[in-house]
Amino acid sequence: MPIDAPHLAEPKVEYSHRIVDGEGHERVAEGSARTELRSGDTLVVRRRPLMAPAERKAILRRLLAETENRRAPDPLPEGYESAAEALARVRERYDR
Amino acid sequence: MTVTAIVLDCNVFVNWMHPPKELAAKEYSDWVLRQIIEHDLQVWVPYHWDIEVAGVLRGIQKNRAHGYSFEWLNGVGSYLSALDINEGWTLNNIPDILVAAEHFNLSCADTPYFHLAQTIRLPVATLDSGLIAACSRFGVEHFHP
Repeated sequence: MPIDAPHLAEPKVEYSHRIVDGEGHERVAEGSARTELRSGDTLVVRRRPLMAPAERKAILRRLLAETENRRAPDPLPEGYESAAEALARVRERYDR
Repeated sequence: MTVTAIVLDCNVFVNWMHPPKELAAKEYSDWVLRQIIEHDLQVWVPYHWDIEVAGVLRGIQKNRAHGYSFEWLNGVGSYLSALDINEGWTLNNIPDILVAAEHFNLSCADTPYFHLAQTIRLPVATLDSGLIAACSRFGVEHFHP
């Protein structure tokens, strides 16, 4: 079934490419950046959002409000660990 | 040290789109998003991040009778556009990926996250126990409360 999603064709970001070698030297990638890579290089692609910071923040705040108000589909009934407790437990296991 | 950027694991983003079963995972993911907003954090992801995110979201959505709704897709697109994302590719060929995966004892999907974080010295926001273990073992910061 085709997806009716015309917004996907709208440009919402622009891209810039650069390659950083293992010694921190940078060069702008031209053509196919992928084929210019050598072992030890880092290719960085920056997606620049085409919206103002305030607009970006408003969207992310809306997302946060949605996630905070959404219940987990199958929450542990009682005595569940807090995120901090669960992470501390995992970290302790691997810190030993 | 003030954190200005993080490497974002696929599953944390997915948890924003769809609540995880474990409340602890939801709380952690919400905390990461709060930090991104409050501190205007830049997000770094490996090259295969979009494919990984799409794969997990497809797994979540594919049982729905009517497929993807316009509203849902539009929401995912908007949230992606609102993040300040850098893609970083530090492992450029298959042998490098295999050697690094073995060295860090990680899957080939997780290895690019960890190698990217180690190369550009950024904390990793993840709930994956393998990545957390690698952080502890190889001196990479795990982004957590």
